[in-house]
Amino acid sequence: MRALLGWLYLCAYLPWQTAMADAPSLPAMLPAVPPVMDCAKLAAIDFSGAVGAKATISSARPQSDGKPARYCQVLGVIAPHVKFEVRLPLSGWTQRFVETGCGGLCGNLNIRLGNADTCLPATKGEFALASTDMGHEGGMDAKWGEDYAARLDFAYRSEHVTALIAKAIIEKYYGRKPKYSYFAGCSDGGREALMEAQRYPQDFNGITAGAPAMNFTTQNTFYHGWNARTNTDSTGHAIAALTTPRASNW
Amino acid sequence: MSSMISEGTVKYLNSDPNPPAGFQMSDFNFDAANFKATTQLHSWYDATDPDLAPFAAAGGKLIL
Repeated sequence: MRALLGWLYLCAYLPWQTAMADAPSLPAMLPAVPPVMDCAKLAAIDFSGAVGAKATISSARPQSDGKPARYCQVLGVIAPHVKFEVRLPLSGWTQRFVETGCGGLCGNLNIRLGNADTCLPATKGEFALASTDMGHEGGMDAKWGEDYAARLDFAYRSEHVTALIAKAIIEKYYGRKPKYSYFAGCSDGGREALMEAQRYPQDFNGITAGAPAMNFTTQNTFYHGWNARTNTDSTGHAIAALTTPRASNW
Repeated sequence: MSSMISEGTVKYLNSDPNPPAGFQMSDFNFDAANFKATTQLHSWYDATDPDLAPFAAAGGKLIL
């Protein structure tokens, strides 16, 4: 009898107790919500009102490109030039939305989960995802900054309006808002993450800011500038050259 | 890399107004006047406001 009670304690009660103690740190298990409309029909909807700026959907179509699960890909532009992508699982959406940040001076439209890409809902394709090119294409030379609207979109507006339209698209497609919304970014994406926490505290429930380039103006002018100056010899050449390939998303 | 980043951001992003055409980073003096000239848009670009109270009040959680 004592042995049986001991077994019950170890195998039944203790794990239950441990699970209860751990409960606050585990993600809430949310039921999957199916779409309430066709993916392609999203293209005919005007989301400008949700964003507060002219928003155009350029395409909405199901994709199956080796990602964990099939999804509805929505591409579009928010005025003046903020390109965005939203991915909506065709099935198995467990009511979470993740917007991902963009490194360097951005200028490319790529959804990268970064430090969140091994978490279970990501590997199972359960997240609705979004990202933006931050209002310009290419341009590590920064020439696009001659347009002050492009500067402002890069500074803080693009990730916010992308959050607004992604949430509006999610609500339309699934018939309900995301239960939890997250922003994950590193480097400039970390700056974008902190910008969201500071300027738009209602946008996200959870934010990860990895290696944030948060002091942008001083860092890029004085820190990078002084790095370059002290690494230049009297003939104007670099003393120590970069010999390793540059990471694509630093 | 640092050279390209600093020259581009000084020429087209951080300065207001922009430096004259033909500006090169090798012309740049690391002094107080240029610090002021290149941080005019600090309130746009820099995510350095330490007050996260509105985010916390909304229930937000941050991993930094």
